[in-house]
Amino acid sequence: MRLADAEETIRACRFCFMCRYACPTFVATKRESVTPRGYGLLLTAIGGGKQAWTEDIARAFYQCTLCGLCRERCEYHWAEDDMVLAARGEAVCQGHVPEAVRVAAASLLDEKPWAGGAALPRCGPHAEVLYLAGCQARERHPEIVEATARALSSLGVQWGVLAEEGCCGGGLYDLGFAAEAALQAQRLASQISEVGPAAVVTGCPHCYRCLKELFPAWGVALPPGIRVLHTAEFLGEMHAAGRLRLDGREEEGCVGYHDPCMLGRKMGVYDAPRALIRAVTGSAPQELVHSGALAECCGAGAATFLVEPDVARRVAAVRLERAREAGVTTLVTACQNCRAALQEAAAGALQVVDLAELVARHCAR
Amino acid sequence: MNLHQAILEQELESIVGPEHVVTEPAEMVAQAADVWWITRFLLASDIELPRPLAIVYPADKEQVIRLVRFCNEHKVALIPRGGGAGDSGGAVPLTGGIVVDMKRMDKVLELNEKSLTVRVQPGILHADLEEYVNRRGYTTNHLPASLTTSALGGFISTNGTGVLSSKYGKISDMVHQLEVVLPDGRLFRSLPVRLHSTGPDYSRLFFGAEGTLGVITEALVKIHPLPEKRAFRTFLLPRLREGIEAGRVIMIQGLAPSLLRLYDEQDTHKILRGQYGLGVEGCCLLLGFDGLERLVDVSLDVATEILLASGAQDLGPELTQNWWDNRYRSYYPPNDYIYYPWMTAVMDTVAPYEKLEAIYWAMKSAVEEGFREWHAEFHAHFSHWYDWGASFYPSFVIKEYPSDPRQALRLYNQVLDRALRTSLEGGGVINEHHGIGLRMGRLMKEAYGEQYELARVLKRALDPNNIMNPGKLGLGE
Repeated sequence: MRLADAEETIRACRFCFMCRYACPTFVATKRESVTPRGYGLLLTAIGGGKQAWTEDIARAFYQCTLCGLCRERCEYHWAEDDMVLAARGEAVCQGHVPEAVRVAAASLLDEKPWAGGAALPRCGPHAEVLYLAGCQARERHPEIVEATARALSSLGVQWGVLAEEGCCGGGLYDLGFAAEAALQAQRLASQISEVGPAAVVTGCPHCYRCLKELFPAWGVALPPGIRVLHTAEFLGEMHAAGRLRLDGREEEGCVGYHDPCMLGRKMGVYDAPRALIRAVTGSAPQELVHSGALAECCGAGAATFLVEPDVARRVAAVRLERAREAGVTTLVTACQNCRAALQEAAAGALQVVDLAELVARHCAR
Repeated sequence: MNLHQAILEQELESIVGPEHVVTEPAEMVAQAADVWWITRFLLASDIELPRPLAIVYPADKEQVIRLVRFCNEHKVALIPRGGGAGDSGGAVPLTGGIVVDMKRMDKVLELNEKSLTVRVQPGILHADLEEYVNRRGYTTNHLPASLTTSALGGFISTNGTGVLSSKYGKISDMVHQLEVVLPDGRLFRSLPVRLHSTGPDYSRLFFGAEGTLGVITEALVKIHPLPEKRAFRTFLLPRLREGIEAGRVIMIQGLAPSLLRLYDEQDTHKILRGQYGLGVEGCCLLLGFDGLERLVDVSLDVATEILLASGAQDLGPELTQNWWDNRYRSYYPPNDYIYYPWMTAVMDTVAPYEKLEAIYWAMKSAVEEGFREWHAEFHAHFSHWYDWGASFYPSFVIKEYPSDPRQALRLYNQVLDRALRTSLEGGGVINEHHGIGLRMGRLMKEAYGEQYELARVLKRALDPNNIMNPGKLGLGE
């Protein structure tokens, strides 16, 4: 999205305070400049020649987690998150991105194709399931990959990983490098097309959204007929079909569920993770004070944890408090980035696990 | 950065910590404008809005005390800021200085479920406080349009009013105890109950003071159980006169409606025809009761009898229920007037019943006849009722005005002055719970006459160095 395309949103948001109270970054930092209104005012000042792009100004836009809660809380659902993305794109064009963004983008551009290590099977042609681990899970959270592999292996389905799994482009897109993101997406789409699986299953909501929603928007096509599913959806289907057999042990205490913004608000997947938790634990998860479409961000959204780690930590602390308020002892989420952010915030005070880990623990052996 | 600025930042950082002192332009730009038309309008002009030397975010009252002492010793202006969503430039740093943003002080300190109070820091946005008490079965019953946008400290500082005020009062009726850091850094805490006879209730000084007499650091706020029932009904009165009289009778009978909103013919037409497609004319009255079901039912019955006897037509509950359910919707763009560049201002006025209608018509004429060449519009509704009078909420709108900023500002102030002077001449009282600030400071002396000298004496006594939010409330000297 170009800045010119965001003009109506800028105009709508620049004087409006109505969603500010809900913005997780605002709640954590109390800064006006990181809210939709602040962004609208900054872009108005820049557009009117009263303020130049600087790294400080650009930095404000990178403190947004793109969680979309402002948009959800807005009665008219103005596209505040798209406005932020457009501003980031402009900052990239103007050459004013903060150093931390430059470093993060360089790291994402420097793809290290991954072949699942020695332990994971390669996906053969026309396999039932291609498991797409995603760059963050495979590089930072291998335990989630291992748990997912255990769960998949328990199903008796033919599954594997790509011989050289690339990146979906989501990270670069969120940082304002749209053209580079589309190139990464194209490479990944080619890799997937070569295998031609029946379904792509990923535990990463960012990959999930890219494949389902952003690839088509970028003109990147997957072969027709390939289903794209989040792990929660796929394992849920398997459970319904009697192929995911669980041990029935109920030993997780008070289990709560944190909705990842990308899976929930952006992609509308709210029920599948809850149903799977119910299947595993025998009861519906404890809802946090704000859940579903109104769930606050964990702070890790839009690579904030890479470029503004302090802000990300402060946002995570607020979200974790919601779990504490609800008396949760095991907080389940369905995104590796949410899990990492909340785990750090919890500092051992409560258990934070990915849904795949919860399932793997309870797979019947 | 010059030496002065460097030393200032160092001193402020030693009080609140380096991460809580902001001098970067991003935050300065984001805080420059409030809801006041003039700040919004000037953003697009060649006139620069004032910026502070720094914005600081204290964590507790001890830090506020140190900040105030520092500013007082060095004669630096200190501008307390809550939600920053005022309508009158109340938090605009007119002379620079330090903006003390209170939003880190947003904690609920104590909930008393016996006496039904909640002790709160002033930086809490009211939606958060309301949600906190709602989750425990209570409500503050302070539900203004700015619920999500404004902080408790801001409500106290403008003596704000919510849509249920006819039953529950203004914020000054809802706060038992107030704690304020005075301009020399001393801490003032009022007595723990509001209704006492231990001399004057000195806390009253700070309601509506807009930060000119100190920084609020804590408040003990009244709460109520969530109502067992809310009931709504809509009536159509033949004219404003019958509507005002019916409202008066309802109030003096002690029926205590929580919601009583009477719209003039123009706004009625807009609402009923524009939003609901009803081809009726008159003055629309939205009525609501809340509380125990039996009391709600009987109150609504009696109020209905009064209204029908006044010639009202009963339009049923749906329209008012719909208004209640969607009452915040009109404040989101593109519904809200701030979305448009229109010149506009609210001019809340309160008056005793015998003067109310005459003031309304005189203000309407002052705006619409007085500024006919600008096609000035005057809209109003009566929304805060008492047993001695009522407050109405007029606003003017001019959609096309001079492009030259100086001429536009002149026109804006001419409309405002003429309308409010008309009200004052008719015995009305300015009731600007959106803030007096810079917008109407010049009218304070006219509103009070010679009595305003007391305000000056108090200001000089408490704040001899004039550091506290200088220039607001007409205390410009």
